[in-house]
Amino acid sequence: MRLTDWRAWQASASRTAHDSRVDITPSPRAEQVPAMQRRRLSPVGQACCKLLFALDPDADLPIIHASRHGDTGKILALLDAATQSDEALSPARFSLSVHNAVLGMYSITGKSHQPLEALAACGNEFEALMSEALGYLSERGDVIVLFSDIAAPEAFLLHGDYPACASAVALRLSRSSDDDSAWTLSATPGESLTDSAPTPLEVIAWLEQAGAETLPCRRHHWQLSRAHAASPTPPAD
Amino acid sequence: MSDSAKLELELKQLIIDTLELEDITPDDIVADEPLFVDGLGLDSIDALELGLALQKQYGITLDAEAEDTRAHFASLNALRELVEARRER
Repeated sequence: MRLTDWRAWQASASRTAHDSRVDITPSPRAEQVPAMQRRRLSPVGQACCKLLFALDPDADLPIIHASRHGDTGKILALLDAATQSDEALSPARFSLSVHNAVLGMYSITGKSHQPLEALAACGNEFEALMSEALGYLSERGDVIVLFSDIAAPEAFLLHGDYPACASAVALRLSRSSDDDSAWTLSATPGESLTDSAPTPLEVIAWLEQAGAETLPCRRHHWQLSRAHAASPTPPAD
Repeated sequence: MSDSAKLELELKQLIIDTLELEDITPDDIVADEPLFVDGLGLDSIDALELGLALQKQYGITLDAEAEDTRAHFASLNALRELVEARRER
């Protein structure tokens, strides 16, 4: 499988030098989404739409999205309201708290008629996305995977494996490519595999290093190499 | 400012805050224009959200199935008349 392009966003106030494919705007604005729809998207939701429109302006590729925690802030606010006897639940918050909400907003705006899928991967999002992408690539030439997460809401500061800041990364994966600048993405069942899995921030750092290091996940090490130097082999399983 | 004008401004602000209308000021909401679809462009989720806000702020409970509920949401003027007639707080 080939990596033909990628875009990323992270809400980092401290970052300065960066790859031009990485947006570090603290409050991204998805200009492509009309204001009346955009107002309901959180910053990470807006960033996701921005990345998708950058990689696929005509919305004609299938997209797979995974997020470890989704929009926990909205869900916490709903739960909080549910514990108050005189507080009703906000329908707008509910409509955007579901797993496939961001892709839904994107598809309405982009008038996408492509398969759009939201994965719940219990902490192993990157590998689940890769596995799913390989399935799509057996039938199609290209697919986009989108991986996003939020920073820990205050109530969860001491719990869970949230990334240090809200972040999102989108990769366009292709079955083959004639472009010399495309990378081959391969996986080896690695030794010293970690219990943890990468957050979007770690995936962004890995992409920026461009092949210098592998990305350790629970089942495989993922490696980027120059397309002409290796054959595109899918993971062994 | 008359009570009616005060309430009108209050309702505009309630709509903007409740529905998180970015880039919209009270002056952008025209009192006799439709709030939904053609006018301001609100949708069905906004209608539900606005119903909750009216309940919380003014103690007005609307029946979602009732025919006249639609009429109450037609414009800001209609909404103001509803609040004037039925507010409990």
